[in-house]
Amino acid sequence: MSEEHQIVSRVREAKSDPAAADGFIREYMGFIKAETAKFTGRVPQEGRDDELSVAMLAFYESILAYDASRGPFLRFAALSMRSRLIDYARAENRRGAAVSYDEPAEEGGTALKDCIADENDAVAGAADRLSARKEIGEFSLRLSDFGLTLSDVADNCPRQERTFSACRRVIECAKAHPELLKELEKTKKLPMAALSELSGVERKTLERHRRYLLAILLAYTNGFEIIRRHLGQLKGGTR
Amino acid sequence: MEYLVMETHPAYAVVLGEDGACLKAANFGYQVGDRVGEIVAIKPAPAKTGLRKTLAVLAAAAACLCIIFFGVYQPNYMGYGSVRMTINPDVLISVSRTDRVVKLKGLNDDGRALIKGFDYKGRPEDAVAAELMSRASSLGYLKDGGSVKLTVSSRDSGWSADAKDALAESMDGGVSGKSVTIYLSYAGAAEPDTVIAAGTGGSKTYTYAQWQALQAQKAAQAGQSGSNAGQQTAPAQSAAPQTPEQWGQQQGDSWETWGEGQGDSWESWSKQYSSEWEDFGKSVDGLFSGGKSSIGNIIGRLG
Repeated sequence: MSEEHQIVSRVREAKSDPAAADGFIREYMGFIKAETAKFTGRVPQEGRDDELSVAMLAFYESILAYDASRGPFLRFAALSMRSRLIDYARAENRRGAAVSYDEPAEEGGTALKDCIADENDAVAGAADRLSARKEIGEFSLRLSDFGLTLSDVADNCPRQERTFSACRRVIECAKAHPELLKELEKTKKLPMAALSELSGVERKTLERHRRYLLAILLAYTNGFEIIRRHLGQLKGGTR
Repeated sequence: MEYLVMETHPAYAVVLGEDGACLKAANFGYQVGDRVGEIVAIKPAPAKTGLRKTLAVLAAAAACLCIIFFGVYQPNYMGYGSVRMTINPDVLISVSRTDRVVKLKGLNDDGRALIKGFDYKGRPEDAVAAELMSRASSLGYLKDGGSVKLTVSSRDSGWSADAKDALAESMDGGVSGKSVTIYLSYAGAAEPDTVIAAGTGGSKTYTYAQWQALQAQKAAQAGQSGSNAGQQTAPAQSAAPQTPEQWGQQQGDSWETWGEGQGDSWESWSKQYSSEWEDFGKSVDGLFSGGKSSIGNIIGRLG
């Protein structure tokens, strides 16, 4: 009983603290693997089995969705993982039979990945990844000046298409008025009134998604070329 | 669509889509800076005010309304029975299940004059009836030697019996300085149930059979001089009737006429009740459409 109480208090802590959530998930890896094995019929390996990654995501979803009225946490998490794995398996089946690169190209022969020519420039790709990682690190640091983390930004991203479109209109509007971006950098605050007036989006919507808008607009200030290029296709239309 | 991996955690990665969407997705061994084509995005946690919670709140509100309506409003503020007082003024007293007067209606001009300005709401029906009788006396409607007919009516016979007993008890004092005969009966009954002879020297309660015998005895004592010993009673005048029918025939303009009057009263009673049901329907509509204000009214009335 007290163990269940302890788990519930850990879950409550993990809901709001990503680091606590990471620690909690690491601690319950055995449980997650066992539940995945029940579904796949084999012991999953970290970094290799996609099902384990899906089960871990489902476990994290359970942390976010859990409340005491749903019964014991581990039973709730097990159900959640199972239904997620079923969904994933169905989606994979719809996509058709996938062949692993690790499978042998011929019986008893070399692995498939060793037989297929890599058209990508591995060196250039690695350099690109490295510079992206560096820029994202700087971006995260910059966000922390505003008291934000990337997890906060993801949590604050609008889910509904209509709201998402409204936010995109706000971003387009800010891009068209660089003085607003400068004001953001200077004051470390979203110029709500000006953005609302210029974009025609309700101030309430802006306030509700303030952290998301702030992060994306920050990416459009100087110094974040790779992220900006990645967001190059961002337009004011639908998703 | 291509996603840029922004942050990684054991269970998920934060990815940024080309459309600007920032999401948490399953981490299939991603590293920060990777670009991925397909993701398994996280499902948003259900909103706190989900359907179940909304339904629970609605069910609780409906239960509260039912408790207020059936536990408080209906027994206290809706007519459950009535007492008709006939002197010459004819008054219908509508009474709730908890014996509170909810409505007074004058059935003739004198009745309307009698209840004008009379404060009755929420008071017990026996007290209201006694006070109306005194009022009728002071306004000159009830004279010495006069009679008062009280007819109790309800679908609940137990409630009717209790109401009749309470009326009999409160009428026991009669009217000061006058001799009055009070007939208590149930609606639809052929003859009164109880007769109270209230006078200056005190009052006495009889069953109707006793009262008939008493009147017959008095008539015999008075001889054939045509004394009006039984004048003050509505039904009996001279010879002791053997049956209610014989008694009715003897009386001429007495109980049969009164019985016809009772028929009229039933009609008016049913009309009055149908109007009360209409009023009730409107008040329930108002309760739901009026929202807090109507509930506030009920709570105010309770207070």
